[in-house]
Amino acid sequence: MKSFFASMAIVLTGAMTTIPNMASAQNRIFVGTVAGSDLDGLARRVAEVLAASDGSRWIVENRPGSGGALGFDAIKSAPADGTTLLMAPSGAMTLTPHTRGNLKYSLADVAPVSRVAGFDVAYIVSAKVPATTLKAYIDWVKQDNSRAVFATPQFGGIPHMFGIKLGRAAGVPLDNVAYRGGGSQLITDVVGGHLLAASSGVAEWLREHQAGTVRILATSGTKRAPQLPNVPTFQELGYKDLVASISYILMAPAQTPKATIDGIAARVNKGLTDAKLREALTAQGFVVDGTANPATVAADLRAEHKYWGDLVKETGFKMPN
Amino acid sequence: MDLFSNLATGFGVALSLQNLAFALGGVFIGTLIGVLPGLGPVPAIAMLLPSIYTLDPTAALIMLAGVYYGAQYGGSTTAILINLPGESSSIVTAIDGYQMARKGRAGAALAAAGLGSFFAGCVGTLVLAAFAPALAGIAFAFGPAEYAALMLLGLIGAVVLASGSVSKAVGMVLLGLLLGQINTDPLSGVERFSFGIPELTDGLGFVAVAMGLFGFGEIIGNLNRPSESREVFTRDVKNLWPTGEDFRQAMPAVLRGTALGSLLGVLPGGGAILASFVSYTLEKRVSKTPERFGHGAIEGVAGPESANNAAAQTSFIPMLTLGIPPNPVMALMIGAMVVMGITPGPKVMVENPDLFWGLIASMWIGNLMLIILNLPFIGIWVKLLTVPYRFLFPSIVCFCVIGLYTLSNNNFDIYLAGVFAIIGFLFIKLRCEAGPLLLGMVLGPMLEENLRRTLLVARGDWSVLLTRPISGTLIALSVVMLVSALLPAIRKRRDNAFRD
Repeated sequence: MKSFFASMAIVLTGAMTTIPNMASAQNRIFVGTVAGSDLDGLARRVAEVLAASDGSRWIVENRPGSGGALGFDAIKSAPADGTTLLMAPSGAMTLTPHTRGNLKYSLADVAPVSRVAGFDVAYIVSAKVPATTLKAYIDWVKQDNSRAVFATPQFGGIPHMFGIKLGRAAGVPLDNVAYRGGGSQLITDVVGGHLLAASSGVAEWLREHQAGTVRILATSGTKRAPQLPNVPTFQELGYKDLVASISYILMAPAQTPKATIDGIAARVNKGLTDAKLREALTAQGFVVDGTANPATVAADLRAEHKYWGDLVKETGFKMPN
Repeated sequence: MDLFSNLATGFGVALSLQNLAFALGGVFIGTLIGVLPGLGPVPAIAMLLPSIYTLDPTAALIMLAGVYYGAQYGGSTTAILINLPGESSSIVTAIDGYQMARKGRAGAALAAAGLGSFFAGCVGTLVLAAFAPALAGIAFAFGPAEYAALMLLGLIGAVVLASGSVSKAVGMVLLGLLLGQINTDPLSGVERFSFGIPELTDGLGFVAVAMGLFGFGEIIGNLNRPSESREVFTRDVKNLWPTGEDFRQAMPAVLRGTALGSLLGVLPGGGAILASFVSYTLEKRVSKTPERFGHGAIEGVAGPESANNAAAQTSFIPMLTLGIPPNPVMALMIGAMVVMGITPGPKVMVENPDLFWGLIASMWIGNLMLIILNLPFIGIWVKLLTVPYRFLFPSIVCFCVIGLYTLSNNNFDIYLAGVFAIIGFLFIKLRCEAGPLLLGMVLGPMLEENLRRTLLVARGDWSVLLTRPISGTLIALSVVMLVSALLPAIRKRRDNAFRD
């Protein structure tokens, strides 16, 4: 019963703190999605870790809109003193700037703090597709061009670019059918066989794969996904260039002092070593990170920025505005 | 009888003191969230999650489920009392519910909504317990083609929703479709009609538009009248409880709404909202006195409310049996299960029977708690309406603005509601109804998306829409509805019936 009242109290205080002005003394983590997304859930875990490390108060403030761009707007005008952070997917800084012409932020506006967690891209086929390997699938698509369709959770995201790159590498003209930010309709459409293949983040498909209603043919990491020891990577299958991952990055405004950033990074990365937290996040499909220091994360993001920039140039892909 | 022994297990779990307390806590928070305009169950549950990870999984899920259906329940209260549908599934409730409130029958409307929801919730739960595995497959039978056909049916039904002229209703649906085009096209990434405003690239927020059109528009409309005649609500509130006549009229509507909601709730996506619209359309069709609709027909409240509550219960089916969340609330519940070490999917029923049946049994108990919690409140709510309007309307506006801000922590939604307040006032002056517009705005993008996906997969072949059995049937139904609405003879009779 005690925990019951405790959780009630948390709900009520939580409801109060959604009104930011009442909570100006608190530290904030902005998230560019609505509450309840996996990014939001991860940010709330990070807020707990930061709070537990020194007793400070942290809240997650959702700034959904414009494909996450409003979160970057918020962090650009925030004080650069370590009291305001942003959590965003890596692709928002490394891929989107190449494809969207009207973007008002760039990698230069933020200073990475920690690569909290991430997951690979998976290529998934419905159980109604006869192929059980990537090679068999490609051959099966080549037999009949009408099969060359793959779904993605959203237009212009990393899974979409990855699917385009797979199509080019395998020599099949794969057409994309995009969904509105993923979710259940994409999954039911693939399980029901209305769409036969999808390129999407690993996390959402683990259960379906284990239940046998879809098959994950390959994943995009340099190593196999820890939750999928029996699924090969694209590299193993001979596609040397098909490497990508989606990671969730914690960052601060660009002018934040280095010592402050290193301090926060140390607290977050130490918190991420907690076995219970790792176990819970792994079960959700994440690969927990928190091993790289801020400078390494920044270097990795710049390399990723170049990788997607080259691919976008090569394919001529552009968001139509 | 496996079902009964399973349910006995479930009640054994759900009736423990701890689980009862969590169910009560859940429905209480849910009701609160439902009553406060603009506040939805998703952010509330997202905030609750970290604190419940340490709880017993069964207790945690019982509470989260309680928040979810409690919010569905509470949402109808503001729709009826102050014409403010807090979520898309209570738009329809606002149409006749608010008219009943204006005629001093707010108590009857609230009781009809409450009792209808209670009945539907109980039946929906029974359906969930008995047929969950069998119904789960429906979700997979619905692909893009079937969704496109279903949305078409919903849009044509919207014309029947309106109680004024058909041409105005068609105009409003079309206007809604146009407003629905303001977004980023999900299939090609094109920003449409956003004029460089980042907030518009995700489309117009439903809650902001509904609050502006219905809530604020209505307030401006009231203030526009001379103050003597401004008191919109009759002071002599007639009987709080529905009369025998009310019960006789509402009962068949509740039954039909429950059946519709139980079926449509299984579909991912717009199940609950479509259920309430289809129920309203159906009630108006079968009614011997369709002219009462839009002027306070109790069937128009009881039917849709039952439908959306039954749908709220059966939407647990895909989540519990397949591990596929049909809406964001369920997605969060799945996240909670995973973190607590339970793998959602077909095995939950076998491996965690206590949790599965305990959760189902708790829904009955939760529904009972809701009705016990809410019926005594009806008197208080109705008293609230006797507060002088000059005090009432500023507080409504204040709560709405707070709710609007919390939608995305952004002033934009408040400005948006402000713009739509003026439009809503114009609609009142022009005697246009906003319901069909909202439906067009919500269903239009879903229709477009799914139609284009269908055509992409079929390589441009339109005939799939007709040759697939489910979509073919739905399109045939749409055609029948359209023809019957357009046939001159029928239209003439209809216009005569609706001339007031």
